[in-house]
Amino acid sequence: MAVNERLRNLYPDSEELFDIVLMTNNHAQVGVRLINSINHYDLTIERFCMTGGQSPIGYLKAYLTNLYLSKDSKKVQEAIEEGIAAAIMFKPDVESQLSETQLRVAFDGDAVLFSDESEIIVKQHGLDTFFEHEKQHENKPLAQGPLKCFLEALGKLQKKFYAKNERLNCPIRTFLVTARSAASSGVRVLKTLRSWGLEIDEALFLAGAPKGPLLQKIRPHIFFDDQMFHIEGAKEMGTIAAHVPYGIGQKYNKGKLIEPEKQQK
Amino acid sequence: MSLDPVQVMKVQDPMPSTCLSASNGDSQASWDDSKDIHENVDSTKKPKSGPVRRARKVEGGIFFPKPENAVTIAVSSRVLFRTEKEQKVFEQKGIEEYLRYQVEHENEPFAPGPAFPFVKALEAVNSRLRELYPDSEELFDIVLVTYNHAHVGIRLINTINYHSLFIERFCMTGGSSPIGYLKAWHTNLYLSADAEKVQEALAEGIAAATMFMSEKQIEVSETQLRVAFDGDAVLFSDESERIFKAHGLDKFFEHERENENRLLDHGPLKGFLEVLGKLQKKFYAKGHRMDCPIRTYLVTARSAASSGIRALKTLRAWGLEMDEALFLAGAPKGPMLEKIRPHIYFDDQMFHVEGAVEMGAIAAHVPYGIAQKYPHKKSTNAGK
Repeated sequence: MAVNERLRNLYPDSEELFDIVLMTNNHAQVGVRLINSINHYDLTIERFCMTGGQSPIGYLKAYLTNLYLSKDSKKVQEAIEEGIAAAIMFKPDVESQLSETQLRVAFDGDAVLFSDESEIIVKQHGLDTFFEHEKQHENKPLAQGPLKCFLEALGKLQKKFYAKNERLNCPIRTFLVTARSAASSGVRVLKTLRSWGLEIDEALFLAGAPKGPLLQKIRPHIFFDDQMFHIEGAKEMGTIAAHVPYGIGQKYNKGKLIEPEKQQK
Repeated sequence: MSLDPVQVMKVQDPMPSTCLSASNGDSQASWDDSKDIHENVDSTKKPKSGPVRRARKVEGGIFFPKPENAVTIAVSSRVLFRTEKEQKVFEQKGIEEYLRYQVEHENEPFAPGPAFPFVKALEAVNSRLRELYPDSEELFDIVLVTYNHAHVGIRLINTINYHSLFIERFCMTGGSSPIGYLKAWHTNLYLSADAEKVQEALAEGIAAATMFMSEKQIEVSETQLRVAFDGDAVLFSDESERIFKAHGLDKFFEHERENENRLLDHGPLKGFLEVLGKLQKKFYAKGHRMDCPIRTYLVTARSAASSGIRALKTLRAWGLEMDEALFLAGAPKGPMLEKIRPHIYFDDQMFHVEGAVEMGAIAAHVPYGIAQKYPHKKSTNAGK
């Protein structure tokens, strides 16, 4: 909402703003309490969808939803299958201070912004094959992942600020926090982003280092990752993390293939 | 969370038995051969297409140590490579033009900068460590920390691959201060061209120094890492410098003699010497004291008989060893450093750093202590 204010200042007639819709399985009766809470916290949420038990997925498309956040993994998976960027949110274990003036969004690379093709190679053939493959296909862009469109939408709004010369104090900042190694597999990622015409403000290539401490310094309002292992690491250090249940990372828990029986959650 | 995050990337297959010489030397030989073969990989948009490089082998050894176990050296892109031309574009024409220039010249590798030989030597030490201790994570880990935007990342990666460096961890902060990230990386040493950032890092308790490019460059060893330190205000605190500057030489000698057995307080680079010492001991343990690939030097303007004991006793009390100690009693450091040929020399006084750089030695300024307020006059011959 802070971003919306800045946007309205610069472009008073534009409709390109953030619009928040509350989607809930709740019945209409709970609506009163929800509205009271919203007013209590001074939020601007005027659009509601109280589905009284039905699945909200159909409505997501009707609202042209760019991002759907929920605690229910089944609904999120359905949304992703329908092509809508979605993630399961988790509350961090520790509270941390977040910026009130700048929206900070952090993304994992593979299986979030990009497809999981490279993850499959690592998990099945190992690091060296992965590096070979990435070097050979350096100039072939990766396929897109579930959250690419959301980054695109953010980028569009960012460009509006740049156009008015506000690049240095833009109220939207995007981060790429990937376990990839820079010299051996980073070029393909950067070239893919460039070929999509997307810019990312900060890029951190970790080459396997733990993401928790760095996220703690970044303090994003939300961090998207496909592997629960990283989500848990982020949570422990106070980062608000959201799990994107997509790709081959779902079958592996901490690098080990989950037995098929245990996969049914 | 008991699991090693590195294993998330590795597969649970049994280690392939063909990974014997995973050393960089192996793949480098074949890279040199393929260097002459220019393969056009979708190069219609780019002015030049570089050769296709073989990917590095990383299985069969630890190449991605956990930051808390490794000795993490954070370098900025401006000290690792020579970027003066690009800096000028940025300063004169602004950021958009700078980004465009970088993207245009993406396939042109940068030339090596002042920290380049240091980083190369670190990798040489790493290969020796991997040979002796194949499962240990106590290695040097180099992280590139830069103000640059992700656009410039591709040129940096191309340059790193061109020079066959192993730098896999990047932090491209797109304009924000990188200092916050240094702590998250457990940085043991931060090298930058920007004195302000270095001062911020020192204030946070991270060993840091500013490096300068010199036109003359003496040759340094490719197999032995040589690190030289000044004493006061680098390894030790600046308490003695203060006395010298405030009360003069005689008072200083008296004070040192009286306090011979009282340890000096530690300085910003003591921690770095400590971690170097830890790695050295690993070589000694395997009987490699005589050809240890790490060598440390103390090059101080102190006088041995009048003020040297306190320095040596302090080092001993900290359990730190110095391979060579040179007490100069005010003699110029430049010629000595020229003979030592360190990969890096840390000093708190710009006067000494400039003298070293003039003679072609690689020197780094540690902006700490009282000497920052007193620019040394070149003609003074008063020594300590």
